[in-house]
Parts: sequence; structure tokens; C-alpha cells
Amino acid sequence: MTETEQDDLSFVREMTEAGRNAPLLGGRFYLFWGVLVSVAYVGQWAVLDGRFGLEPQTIGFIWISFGVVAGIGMPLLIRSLKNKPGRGAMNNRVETAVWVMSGFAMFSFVVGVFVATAVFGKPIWLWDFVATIAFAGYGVSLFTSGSIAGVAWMRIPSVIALVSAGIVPILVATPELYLFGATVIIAVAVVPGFLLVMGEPKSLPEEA
Amino acid sequence: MSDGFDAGRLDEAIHGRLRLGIMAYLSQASPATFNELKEVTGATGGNLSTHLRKLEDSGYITQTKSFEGRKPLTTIALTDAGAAAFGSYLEALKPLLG
Repeated sequence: MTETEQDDLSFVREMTEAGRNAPLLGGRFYLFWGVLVSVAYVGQWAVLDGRFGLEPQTIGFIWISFGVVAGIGMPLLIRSLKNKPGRGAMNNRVETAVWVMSGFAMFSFVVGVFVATAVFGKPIWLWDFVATIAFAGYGVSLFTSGSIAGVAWMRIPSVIALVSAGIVPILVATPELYLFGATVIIAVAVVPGFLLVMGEPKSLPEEA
Repeated sequence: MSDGFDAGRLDEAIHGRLRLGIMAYLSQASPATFNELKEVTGATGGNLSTHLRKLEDSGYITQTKSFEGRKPLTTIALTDAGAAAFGSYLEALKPLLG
């Protein structure tokens, strides 16, 4: 094989590895949802625990605000990724798929609990189990994303999330559940999100 | 010589340093933007366009031009035919690599 051919093959290997090893781009979503959920959880804990003289109706206000901020923030975050290299890499396609489906499971459960409590008069503490579904979703998604991208440290928040899913039933119907939930979310979403954002490649310039 | 390297089996549409590099990257990360390919291959815009057109004419990639706000955005994706052709190309290279 000539030197030029060897050089070409090295170039091909370099290109293949550049595509295969594209960094995960989901960090900003972890950060966004992590901050949003932990703030909402702390708010709910404050109301349920009778802090600051907040009325129970404040919980409704907290979650409606949560929905509004999420609805505005998500399209902006998605758009902010348009010039990031590696969006089409397997790592990032799997990460997107697993989080979208986890989100779907959480949404489906929330709708079910809403109907159960608002229409069929089931106990209000059913809402507390949303945290179990959320933590299970976080755990599976973190583990899957970390495994496919070869990011070993993501197993730590994954295990924290999965163990926390099992702790939720113990804390059901207590205000402390939400303080616990906020702490877990910081550990499994805010911190990983920050680390992933730090490892992202720079956005490429706009096309001329 | 049936198990040996046969240069005639190398697909001319892929054979070429830049086109090979594009196919190798897209085999792992498809779709990719024009600027992403430009950055990763180190090619100039004009040169990259020429080679992308060759691959597109062979049916190995698709190029989709759109706008994000007022800025153009070209997205390049590997087709099924392209993935198969790249696989065959690598198979043809195997005897050479030992």
C-alpha cells in the first residue's frame, strides 16, 4: 500500500471516529428540566409544609407556571442546537429517543392521575407517585444515554434515580417527599446537565 | 486471485479521499449539516459542494436545503443505497488491509 493510500485510510478512520464519538448534546435539556422541576418541588414542599403562609392553591399556580415555562423553553432549546455538530450521531439519536419516550410515559401518568383525582375522586396523594415514574424515567434514560456514548459516570446519577424511585412510596403523603425529590433532581439532572454542557463542542458558524 | 484485492470492485463514486471521508462520517452521524461536514473534513465549501453533488447524483446521499430564520441550512443524509454502497466498498478494501 502506498503512503497516500495509508494516509487516505487514516483519514477515513478519523472521520468514522469523529462521527461515532460525537459528544452528547442533551445537557441543556437536563439543566433546564432539572432547575425547573427542583424549583417546583421546593415550592410544593414549602406550601405543603406550611412555610411562608402559602395557600394550598399555590400548588396549582406552581405547576401551571411550570407548564408555561416548559412550553416556551423547549422550542428555544431545540433551536439552540441547530448548529451543534453530531446531532445525527447514534449517541444523540438514542439519547433523544429514550428521553422522548420517558417524557411520554411521565406525561401519560400525569394525565392518568389528573383524571383519577379530578374526575373519579381518587386520593390526591396519587400525585406523589409522579416522582416514581419521573425518577425511573431519568434512571433508564441516563443509563442508556451514558452506555451508548461511553460516558461511564452517567451510571452514578442513573443508579441514584432508580434507587430514589423506590424511596418515593416510603415518603408518599408527606411534604418531605418534595424536598427529597428536589435534592434527587439536582443530583440526577442539574449536575449531569452542567457536566454535559461543559463537554459539548462549540456551535458551528451559520451557513453562508 | 478470487479472494484477493480487486480494484475493479471499488465504487468510483465513493473512491476519492474527500468522498470517502464524507461517507465514513455519515455512516456514523447522519444527517449532518453542510458546515458540520466542512468542519470535520477540513474541505473548502466549493470543494465539498462538488463532491456532495457527485454522491447525490449516485443516489448515496440526499441534500435538503431549508431556512432557519433567514439563514440557509443544508442537511445531508446518507441514503440506504449509500449505506449499502459504503459497506460494499469497505468489503472490497478488506483484502488490501489484510
